[in-house]
Amino acid sequence: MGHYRAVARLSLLLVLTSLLALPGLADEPGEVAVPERTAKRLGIREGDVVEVAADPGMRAVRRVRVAVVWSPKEHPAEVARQELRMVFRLPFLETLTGRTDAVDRVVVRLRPDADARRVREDLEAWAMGFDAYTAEELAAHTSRAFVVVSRFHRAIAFVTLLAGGIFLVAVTGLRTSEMRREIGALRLVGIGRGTIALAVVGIATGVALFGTLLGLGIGAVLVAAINAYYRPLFETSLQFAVLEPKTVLAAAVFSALLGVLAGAAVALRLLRQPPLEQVGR
Amino acid sequence: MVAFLALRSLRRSPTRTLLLLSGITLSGSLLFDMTMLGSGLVESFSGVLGRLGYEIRVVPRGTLPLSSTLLIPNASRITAALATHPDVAWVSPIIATQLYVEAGGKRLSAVAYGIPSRLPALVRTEADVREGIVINPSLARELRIRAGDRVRLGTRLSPSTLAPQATVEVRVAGFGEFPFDLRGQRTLASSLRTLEELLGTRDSASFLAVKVREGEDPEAVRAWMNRSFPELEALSIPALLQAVRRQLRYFDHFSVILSGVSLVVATLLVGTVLTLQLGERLGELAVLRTLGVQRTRLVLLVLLEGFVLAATSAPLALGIGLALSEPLDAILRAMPGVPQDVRFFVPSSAAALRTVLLLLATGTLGAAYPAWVAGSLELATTLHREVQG
Repeated sequence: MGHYRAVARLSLLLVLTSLLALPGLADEPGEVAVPERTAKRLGIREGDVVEVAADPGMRAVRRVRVAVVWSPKEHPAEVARQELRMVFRLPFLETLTGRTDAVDRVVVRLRPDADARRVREDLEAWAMGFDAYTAEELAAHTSRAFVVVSRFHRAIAFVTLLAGGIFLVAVTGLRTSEMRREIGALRLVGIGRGTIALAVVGIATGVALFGTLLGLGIGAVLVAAINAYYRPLFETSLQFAVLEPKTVLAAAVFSALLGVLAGAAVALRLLRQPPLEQVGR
Repeated sequence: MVAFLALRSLRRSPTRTLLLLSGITLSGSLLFDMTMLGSGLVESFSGVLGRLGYEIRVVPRGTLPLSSTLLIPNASRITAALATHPDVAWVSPIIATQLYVEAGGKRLSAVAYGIPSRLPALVRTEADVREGIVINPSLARELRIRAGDRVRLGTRLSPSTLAPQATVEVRVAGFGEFPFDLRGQRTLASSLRTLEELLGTRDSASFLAVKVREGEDPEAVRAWMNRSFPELEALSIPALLQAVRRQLRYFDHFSVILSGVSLVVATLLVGTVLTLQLGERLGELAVLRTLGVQRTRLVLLVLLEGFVLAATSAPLALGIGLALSEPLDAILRAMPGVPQDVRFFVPSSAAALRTVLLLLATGTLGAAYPAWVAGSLELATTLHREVQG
């Protein structure tokens, strides 16, 4: 048994979707499909009857039945906006908004062997007044914000890496300076400079890799915490942070490189000192 | 004496001290940047909103505060009713829409504002919209228009002829800057009447701008408007900022997390290096104790070393942070949908002071463990070990 609710006082993005095949949304003009988030926010269920209008004063109200409540695939760019949506059949929305034979966008499905870019160019040359995009271009366009954020993350990562490098050089320097006597003694008994340099580089790389391992552990905990916090906050199943194998690999490679560089810098400094001076003579 | 010993100890190994200073400086500069990011965006947005010259924006209830295609009907009746409030200085209906502009055989879409002549802050210009349209530099550049040229404004394109359904020819009165323009956005302002005629609407507005009298509380006026006009939503600048803050929560959290990380890195750096350094100075500290220096003085000595390191790094951290903020800001401002007047990193004395205080606290806290080690030194054992070593 349906019940009436006035919904137009909430921000609704009315979507023209005559081309969408939604399970459960019949060809009945007076039916509406409601994404789960909208349904939750408005407190409506399948079978409910709601009142909709195109104007905030609810002057031209139409009643529609909620045919289906479903979980659509979400685009990360839309999650933060928290817009509420409803999906109607095109003729119904035309009547509701008083816009006939006019749409916001047209989706074109191409034949399997068609060249999307060429069709887009043809469409743009054919008429003025609209922009045509291939699905690839549209995806690149809508994800531009994330590309920018990712560039920002890389810049911050570079600064953090620099700070980490300095930390490593300082710690390796101090550790090896504590071992100065042993190193002097080893050199006096005939251990080659190369072997000692290799050992110092090995220590620095080991410390760097161990630090990376710990960092990855903390990172994994943070990833879980970020998802646990943001997913309920934005009522979405999207992942906000992901620890990818390429991130792990990049961290390991960078830290090994940093370890080698820090070790080499310390070894150079250490080996410049005469061995007798190192043992305190 | 404690200060003398602390400085002497730091000068003993200049390379190590320099490394330590570099590490703290880098962490500090990141901390300064994140402090600027946390507060700057809202401050910058608030600055842009504050320059608009009105305190309340009235939109159809349930629509987005800054962009909506819905119009408020009976705008003049509502405008007159809102203006009856004793604290209201004036109310202005404004239309914001998308139009086509044609000149020199080229047709481009542009954001158009229909404004009454007394809203100078919505567009910074010397020209008067009563004498024609005011355009922004992007539109002028792309259509190669000069002041005094005549252009054609067109509405929605007809699906059958692909020509605008209505057009009007107007004169370009001059150029102006719009504070809320996005990067590369083409914008124009015309008189309200011109846009109404072109759109075929009568007595409607996209939003109403409300100026509250000097010294009166905009929040009280806003509450009255929301009570009296339930089909409308009155938003004050703090309410708009709150909406913006909600949208930009990511940057708030990011700055908090990264500030925390840089503080932890600086604390660990000071703590680790001073602790390792202390191992080399145990004999010296034991001798100082033998000479009668109190435990608390030794603790103070190590704490002071941490404090001095942080204090020396602070000005460098602020300088580098400021220099770093420029390229970081440029990266983030490339994000779509960001008004060109808005900045992500806004330097302020409050952000600088917060950074310096946090750095000083971090340096001192980092030195806490080695200070405790110095304070709990066993005199006889240490001296014995030193003599044997």
